Amino acid sequence: MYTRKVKLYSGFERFWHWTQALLIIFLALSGFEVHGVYTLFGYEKAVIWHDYAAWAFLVLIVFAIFWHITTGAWRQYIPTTRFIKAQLDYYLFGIFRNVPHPTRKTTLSKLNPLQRLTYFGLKVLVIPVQVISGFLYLYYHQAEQAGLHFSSLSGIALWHTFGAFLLVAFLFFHIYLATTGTPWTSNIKAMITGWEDVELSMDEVKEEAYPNVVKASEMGYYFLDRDGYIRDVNAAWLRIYGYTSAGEVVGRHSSITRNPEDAPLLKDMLDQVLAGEKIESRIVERVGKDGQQGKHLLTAHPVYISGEIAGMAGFIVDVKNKKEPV
Amino acid sequence: MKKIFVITVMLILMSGNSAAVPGQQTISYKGDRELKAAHKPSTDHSKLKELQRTFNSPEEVTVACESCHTERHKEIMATNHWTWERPEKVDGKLVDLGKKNVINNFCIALTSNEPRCTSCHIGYGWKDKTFDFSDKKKVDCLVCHDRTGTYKKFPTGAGYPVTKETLFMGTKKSFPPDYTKIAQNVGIPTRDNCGTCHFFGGGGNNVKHGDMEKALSKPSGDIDVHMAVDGENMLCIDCHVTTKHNIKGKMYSVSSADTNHVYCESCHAAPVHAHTVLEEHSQRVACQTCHIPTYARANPTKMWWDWSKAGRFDKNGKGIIIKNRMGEQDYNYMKGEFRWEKNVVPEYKWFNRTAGHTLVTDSIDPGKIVQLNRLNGSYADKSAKIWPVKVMRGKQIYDSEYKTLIIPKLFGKKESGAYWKNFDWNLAAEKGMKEAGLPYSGHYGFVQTEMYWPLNHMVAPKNKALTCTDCHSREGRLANLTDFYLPGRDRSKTLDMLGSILILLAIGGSLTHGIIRIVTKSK
Repeated sequence: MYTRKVKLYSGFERFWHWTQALLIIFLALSGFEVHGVYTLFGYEKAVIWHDYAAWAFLVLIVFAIFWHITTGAWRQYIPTTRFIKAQLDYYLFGIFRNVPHPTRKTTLSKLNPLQRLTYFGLKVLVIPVQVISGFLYLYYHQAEQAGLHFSSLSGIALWHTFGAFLLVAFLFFHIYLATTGTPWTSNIKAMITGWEDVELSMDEVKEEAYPNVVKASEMGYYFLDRDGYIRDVNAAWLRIYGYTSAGEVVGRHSSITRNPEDAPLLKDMLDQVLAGEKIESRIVERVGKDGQQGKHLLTAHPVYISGEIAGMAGFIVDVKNKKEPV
Repeated sequence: MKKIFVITVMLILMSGNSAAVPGQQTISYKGDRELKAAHKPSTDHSKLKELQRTFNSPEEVTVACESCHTERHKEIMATNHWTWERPEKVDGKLVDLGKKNVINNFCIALTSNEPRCTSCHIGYGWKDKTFDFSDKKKVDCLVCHDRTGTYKKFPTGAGYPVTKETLFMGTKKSFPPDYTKIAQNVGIPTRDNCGTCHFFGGGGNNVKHGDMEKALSKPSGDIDVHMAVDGENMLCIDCHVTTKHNIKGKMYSVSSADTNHVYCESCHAAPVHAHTVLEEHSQRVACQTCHIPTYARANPTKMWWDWSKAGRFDKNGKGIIIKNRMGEQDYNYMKGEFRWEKNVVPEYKWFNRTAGHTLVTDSIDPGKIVQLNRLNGSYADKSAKIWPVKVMRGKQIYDSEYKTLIIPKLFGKKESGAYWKNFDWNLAAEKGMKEAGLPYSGHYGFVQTEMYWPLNHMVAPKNKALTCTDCHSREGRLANLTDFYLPGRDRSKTLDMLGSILILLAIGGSLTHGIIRIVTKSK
């Protein structure tokens, strides 16, 4: 309903994601050539480049681990069972009925429960299996010379093949699921630009709207301190009083807004409010800029700061003398 | 944050470099040895008075040589070229190997056939077991040191050249050598000197080795990169380094232990490959495996010899000889049936550079193929490497009662009982075994045998070496070497099938899901 552009993925995160994506795709292409499935780069190049890519991947992993730890982003991947059924239901049924996503993306929780579980599995099981089996595969002779004994390369190779199949299957699911955002490109765009339109909760909407309620209101707003000095007014207040800028009135005593004979009334009202009372509505006569006279309806309430009444604030609405045509 | 990117990128690039190995190929000759091919003799033998005379026999030449080179015959007599005998350990026990004692599946054995076989002995007159191996007059200096190319030992002459113009097998003419000219022109052995015997082992060009033949006399680079006349032009003895007439190198057909050998690595010091992965292959793959992609590249070699088919005559009583398109015999009434192949893809074996042998005294199982020599090694044996091998196969005579191989008398006069005159296997077996001092039951049969000849020569230029997928593919050259996991060849079919199903499910599932999404959204 209400959305806001949010920086969801930092620069490093995007660099990591896309570098990892390219490396995994390249490792899969070259790896399955080494596995004897097809001819693409030529066997020798496939082997050599697969090895280089493996090292690049390892370096990337080291940086990614550092980043996850230092930024606390690792917490994103702690698996949770909350909403996991809802997420599954969504993918299996809800998505076809245009039901909204059951979980919301926020900067604090970018991943839905299924993603958390899958990525956790990848990071804790599949990728370590791939890296360890891969480097044992690559440095098989050296490992043997260092005293590790394998009856054959086959165990290592089979684990590595197993991991490769899981990663490729993941890749296809991942690419497809990336299109399940609304619109379908939103997730992909976000991973490229870092920004995404994230849906706001009503609390977030309110939080954002409230400060503007006073500023943008057509009711005049005022705030007097305990001694009756004007501390804050809004644009509507200035318009009603005929002033052009807050600087003309802020810091001056509120008595300038009344005829001298009405000043005690204002003082009484202030005292009342400072005593804790509220004024629901009252029509008063005002003195605006250059002595202009007028009437307005006002409200008043005490302003509490740190539990103490620090002044009086309220809203005013101009009351026209001549009747408006109905 | 940007700094992190830069550092990451740098590290990724650097890691790529660190995995590579310095890209230079090094050929380092150990020591400062010069190639013998460039050898200039220090003595002009034509100026020596001892040689300015006529010689009536080859022994007279030998005496003349030894009158200056007074001690060389002692060196010669200590070598296998002279003794044809090698006491070596086979399966833990000391046995006499060497040409004199082993059984092969070409002309089978030396004993009782000496005058024919010993035409390649570096001596004169080894016509039977009475030959005196201590007679220094009998040393043949010229066969190795002749530089005129005119010195020829006669095929059936027990090591002697002919004394008058003679025909061999009614075709090849032999002439008595001009000893004076030859003696005055001696020098270090060239490829042709070694080749005069070693190219023609088994009774014809390239019959035995497959990787050693007359094309190596003046080979092109494609035939042999080392000896190429338009390249390094190396001599045999450039690799087969010789000290006191002891020439390094020996074949596993007649020897067992890994001693006194020549290795590629003697000159090509590691690392020789530009990339680590390739270099690591040398731990388990012999240089020869990739660098001798095929053998018998110039002329065919004999792959099969079936003695059991010998002895056929046409209706006129003339021995049958059938020639094939390559000009080689597919059948010869004296020897049986042959198969020849050219440009042969080797067979590959694990080999730890020790070999076993089936001796004439060993029991055999005629129900199985008898391995006359065995290359030891397996994947589990860390000292074994994959070697290219010529496997010679055939059928030969054995004692069907005593279950041993038989030394037949093949060559000789009719009254000696020789097979090639009488075509009587029983008689040939009896005579041969008697000569060898071994029992013969009187019953013979033919058993299939195999012989393993590791390949070392005809090293191809590097652009002709094998490439990865020659072996790293489903049906590659190592398809029969199954005791280890070979990337690109091996896989778990179950795992591959399950993995493929998983990937298909991922693709199919995604597509189906996506189509349903599109259909339901459009409603």
